[in-house]
Amino acid sequence: MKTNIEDKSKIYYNPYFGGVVLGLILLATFYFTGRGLGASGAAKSTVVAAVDKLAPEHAQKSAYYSKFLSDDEHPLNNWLVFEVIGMLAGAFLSGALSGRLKFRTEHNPKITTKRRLIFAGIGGFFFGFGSQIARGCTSGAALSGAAVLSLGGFITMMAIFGSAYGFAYFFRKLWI
Amino acid sequence: MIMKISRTYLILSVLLAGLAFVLVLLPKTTRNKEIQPDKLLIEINDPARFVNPDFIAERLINEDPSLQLVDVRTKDQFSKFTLPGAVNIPLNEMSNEEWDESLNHEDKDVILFSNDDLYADQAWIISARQGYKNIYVMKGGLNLWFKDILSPEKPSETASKEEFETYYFRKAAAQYFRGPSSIIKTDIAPSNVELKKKEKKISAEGGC
Amino acid sequence: MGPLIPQGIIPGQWNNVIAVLIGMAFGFIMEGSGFSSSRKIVGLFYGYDFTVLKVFFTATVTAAIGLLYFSYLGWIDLSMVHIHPTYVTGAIVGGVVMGVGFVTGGFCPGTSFCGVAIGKIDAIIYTLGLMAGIFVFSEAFSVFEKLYDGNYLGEITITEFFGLSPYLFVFFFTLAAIAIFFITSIIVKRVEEVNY
Repeated sequence: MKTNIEDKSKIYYNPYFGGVVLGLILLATFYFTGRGLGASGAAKSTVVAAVDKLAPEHAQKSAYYSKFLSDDEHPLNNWLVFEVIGMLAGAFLSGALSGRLKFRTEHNPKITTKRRLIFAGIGGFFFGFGSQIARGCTSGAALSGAAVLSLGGFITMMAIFGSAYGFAYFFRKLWI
Repeated sequence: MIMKISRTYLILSVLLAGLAFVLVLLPKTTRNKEIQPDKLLIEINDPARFVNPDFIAERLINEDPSLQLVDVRTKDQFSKFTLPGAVNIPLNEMSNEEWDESLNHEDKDVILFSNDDLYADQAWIISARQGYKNIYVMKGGLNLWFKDILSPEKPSETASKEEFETYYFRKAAAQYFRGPSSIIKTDIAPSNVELKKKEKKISAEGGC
Repeated sequence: MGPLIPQGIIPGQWNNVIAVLIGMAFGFIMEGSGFSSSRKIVGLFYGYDFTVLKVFFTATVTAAIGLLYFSYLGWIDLSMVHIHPTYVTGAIVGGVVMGVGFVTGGFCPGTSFCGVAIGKIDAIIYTLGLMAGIFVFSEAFSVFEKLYDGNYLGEITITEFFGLSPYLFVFFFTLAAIAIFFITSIIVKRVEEVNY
């Protein structure tokens, strides 16, 4: 039984405890704002804001960007963006307290760092694409949607996990 | 293979399932049909909930099927005289379950009337509180009906064209409602006039 | 009676402040539960770590039960709570695409932000990929528009769609979640351990 500094960084909360706390946070979010949590929305706002800044006419004319642009509010001025700012801060704090702050790439030792990063990018691409089609990600559609028993939320949740399980075999070399 | 399940998890699972189970058992009141006071206030202040006798007369003449008249006076008053096609739901029975069918019409307009409009208005509040839609009050009640429709006043020479048109309409309506084709309970012309006078007296006294 | 901001009980200016506070709590508990580690996250797909399932389902069940209790006690008006809209085609197709992204990238947007916060380079690349994916979709939107808008059923709940009582549904969902937890503990014992 080794007790060195290395191990502290591997200590995480009991997942059921984490789940209950997360559930209570979600409940509080509904209670205060009437909406659930979210994550992909903030990424979307960043993209919209960037395109609007760099090519405003294109953004206005586009069928998709224009949905999220309004005359009186900057696209980055929305609830989800502030929530994500908080998330970054909170995660940073937690990482700092547990000694997990370190610039590194986590990967299966059987593959190279480069390979991991390439797939991280590809994975992000797919997820970003899919999150727009489904109008949400695991936090927004699946978690918050399921908590209010939304049909769409459940469908999205089952589709994400079902698909991931289905394709897991083909990408197993990345992980195990 | 015998599994050793941690006792803490077992207790926690039972606790969670229990919480969910209690939710199933809790008695649920269906109080969602009732309207919130602040929403009721908005509806009370909406003038569109009043309709005038001309409007009712026109729809009756056109035999509009989406019209449902409700007389909220007592049974006695109802049996002596009422508007064609009206049903009788006395004010003090307004919240009874048995009238739910007559009042709960999404497709029809329910017009409440009484002698003046006080009782009809009270009936309106009770219906609106219960969440019924399309409920209106005939402004002026039967008093105004008699005055405007059954014996309309001829406007003066200097009146506007609209006022004359309204007058002609009312005259025609009067003939319609008093004529042989009308469904007023006593349809013999002379006694009709007498009855009318009597009703007028009662209304003036009784008020609403 | 909640929800507090839509009902005006808390002034709207607090909205963003509350967002940051809630976000901090969200990020803290996520990172603390291990969601900043991609190898830990994908464990559920290979059977060596079911943290994601445990946290996810516990949170959903807790929040769902909590919402129903709040509603019963008159603390929240559920009709004012936002229900995620149901676009059937979009939900399925988007979900499948996201699943691929999940198992290749090892993150979902929320967890990737946690990873970014502690310096995981794969999380940073993932987040950039996320934005690239969103960008491409937006540019190619006209191609996917029919998919995006297809089969809109409104903001419908499961209980409305199937005509079930929400309380009964949540109860059975809770039982299912507990069953899944026990099953996963069996699977973990039988799968080869992975050190990450």
